[in-house]
Amino acid sequence: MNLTHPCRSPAARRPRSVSRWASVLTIAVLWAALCGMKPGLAATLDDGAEQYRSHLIADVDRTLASVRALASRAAAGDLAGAKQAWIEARVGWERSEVFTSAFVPELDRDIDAWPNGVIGFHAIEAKLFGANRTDFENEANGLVRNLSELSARVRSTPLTPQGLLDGIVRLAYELGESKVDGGESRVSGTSLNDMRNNVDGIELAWRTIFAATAESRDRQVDVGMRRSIEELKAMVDVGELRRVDPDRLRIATEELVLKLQNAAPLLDLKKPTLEADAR
Amino acid sequence: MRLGMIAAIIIVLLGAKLRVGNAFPLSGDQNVLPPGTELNEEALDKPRELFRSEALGGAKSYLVNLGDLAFNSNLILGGPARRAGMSCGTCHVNGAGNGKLYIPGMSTRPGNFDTTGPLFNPKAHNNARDPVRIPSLRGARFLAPYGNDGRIASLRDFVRNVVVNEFDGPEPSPAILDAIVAYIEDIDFLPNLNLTAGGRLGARANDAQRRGEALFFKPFPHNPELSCAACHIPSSGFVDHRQHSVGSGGLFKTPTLINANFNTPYFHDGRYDTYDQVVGHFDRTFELGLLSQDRADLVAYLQATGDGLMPYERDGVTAQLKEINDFASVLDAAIPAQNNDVIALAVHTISGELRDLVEQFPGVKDTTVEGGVAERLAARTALKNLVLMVRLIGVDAAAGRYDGAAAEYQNYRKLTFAAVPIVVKKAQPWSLFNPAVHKAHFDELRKLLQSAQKLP
Repeated sequence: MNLTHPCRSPAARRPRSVSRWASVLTIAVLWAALCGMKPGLAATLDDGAEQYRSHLIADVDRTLASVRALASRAAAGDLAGAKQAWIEARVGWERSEVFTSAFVPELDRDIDAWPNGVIGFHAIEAKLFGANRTDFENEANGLVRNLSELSARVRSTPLTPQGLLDGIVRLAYELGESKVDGGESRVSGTSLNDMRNNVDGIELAWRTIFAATAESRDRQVDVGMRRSIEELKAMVDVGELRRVDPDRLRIATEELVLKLQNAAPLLDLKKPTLEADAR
Repeated sequence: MRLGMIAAIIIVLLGAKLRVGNAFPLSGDQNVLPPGTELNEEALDKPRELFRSEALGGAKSYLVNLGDLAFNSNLILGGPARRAGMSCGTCHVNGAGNGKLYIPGMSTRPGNFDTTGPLFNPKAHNNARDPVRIPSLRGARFLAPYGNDGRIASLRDFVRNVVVNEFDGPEPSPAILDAIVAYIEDIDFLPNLNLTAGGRLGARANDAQRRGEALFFKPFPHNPELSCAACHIPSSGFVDHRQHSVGSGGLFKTPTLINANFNTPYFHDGRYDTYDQVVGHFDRTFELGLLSQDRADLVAYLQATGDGLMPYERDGVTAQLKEINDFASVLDAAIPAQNNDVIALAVHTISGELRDLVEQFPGVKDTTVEGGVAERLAARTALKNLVLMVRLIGVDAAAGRYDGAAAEYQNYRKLTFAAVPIVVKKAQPWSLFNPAVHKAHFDELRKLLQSAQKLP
């Protein structure tokens, strides 16, 4: 009798016929359970990550289309149309920050550099909204190039659940940062939009990737997370930035980060880190 | 003795050289404070804060640290000030003044502020544009009565009035009021090597300063019962604790001249920038008949009396972490005492200070900083982790899990004792505490806002 531990016996997982395959699979699942593995977990999170990828691709492609529209409207001297396109482009961008901050920090920097009057969204914002100018062809072309690269990267980059949980945590922490100076999109006055889209991005990533697994293991964790996200949504669902209560928002975001960090072991993930190269 | 004197002079020179102005106005128009508001929070050089308790060789008490914490917390205030993240310390930086603070609609010039204006507490609005100079609080325990017009005898009552009436804050608890008063009363004047213990010029004085001192004591020609020294009594901290009319539109209390070189602008409403303008005002108002040499001598004397040792210090990791640690020390007592009010105040204020410190280390999206990426990210990570540890203390305490809060606080203390300071100091060369990095960052921000026509 072969007493090799089933977990160390790859041959056992290579059946030659369907019936044999099925029986071996059943045994393998049982052995895996005996070994302390959690069959289906990785697949669930990975499935969730792939589902999230389809949303991410849609958001990034929408952003890219809006920036192309921005460039063409600016070239036509259509100031109002260019402004509208810039605002629309920010929606998908801010929602996808869960991915960009964790997986492509160099593109994140080139697309959303701050402060920077030469490249990225905010260089265009300054001219477009501050000076009512549309002569930013170079900046718009650069942004199109970088977003095209991002569009390719969201399709090809392996999406690890760990990286995506890191991304949610980083975005949640950032959401609680002071906007006393008007925030990042202060010239266009759309920092509040950024915040709302950030919360949407956090919600999308949690629900798509992690919620099902968390719920199956400890329903209260998922309930608590959803409640926290709803609370954040309510906090930024106000008419103007100055009506956001910064103290409550800071507390809520930090408590959400703590909850996400506490949830990591439940998801068989490491404690999420708060900066890109920190692990 | 001579070496000590040389060292002191070097320190004074260093202090003078260190002072760097780095004002940067708020530029967004969606924020609580009006566009163009200047809080001067980006300044690299901060007024030096000298505590009596530490100068005497001891440590600040729990009460003083709690007062310092409350003084620097926006939770003490209400309305727009609280939402804008302002605190007592916004105007009184390290217990001194803030000669650059300017809030459109509330200030008529940098360094003054209408405490009864419409922005911070509409109920206190008196429908008059009557800003007052932001005073230094150094030596405040010697300077009663309080308020520029000396209308309030007690510092405690004055503090309450500022918090509740001027800044729409909630009624402070007696313990918090006591603590703020203890903190303010612990702030000392900066030592002045020019003056003797009785407030007279010492051996270092030059001829011009001595001539100025003589004029300072000289009776006014048309009012011989008056002299500068009759109100600014040198042996009494250069004050007489009384109000006077000096031709500036009302009765105002005599301000001290100690450390006044660093308390510009001058007069109750901050109308004057220089001693020469002040002397000119008295010359005109009281018909002193001063010659130009007399004015110059009086100015030289005022500069000598208004001096102070090392008035500014360069902001940096060490100073910031020390202040945060002093704030955190209140948890030594508050957690065992299960004092949730103080724990909540500490958690909120410390986590806010730590978040501000994180932003001194530019992240990867800041293209103005070259190099030190790993160091910066390590510093940001370490500080953000502290933010979360502090928040966890608050969460545990609010849920009545004081053992958990105490354990987390011990972890926090261990990290802040050595590990975090090492990581953070290592990143300091690439932080906004480095003048070159600071300049590059704010030059780029200025350029961006200029292209947006938000700045001239």
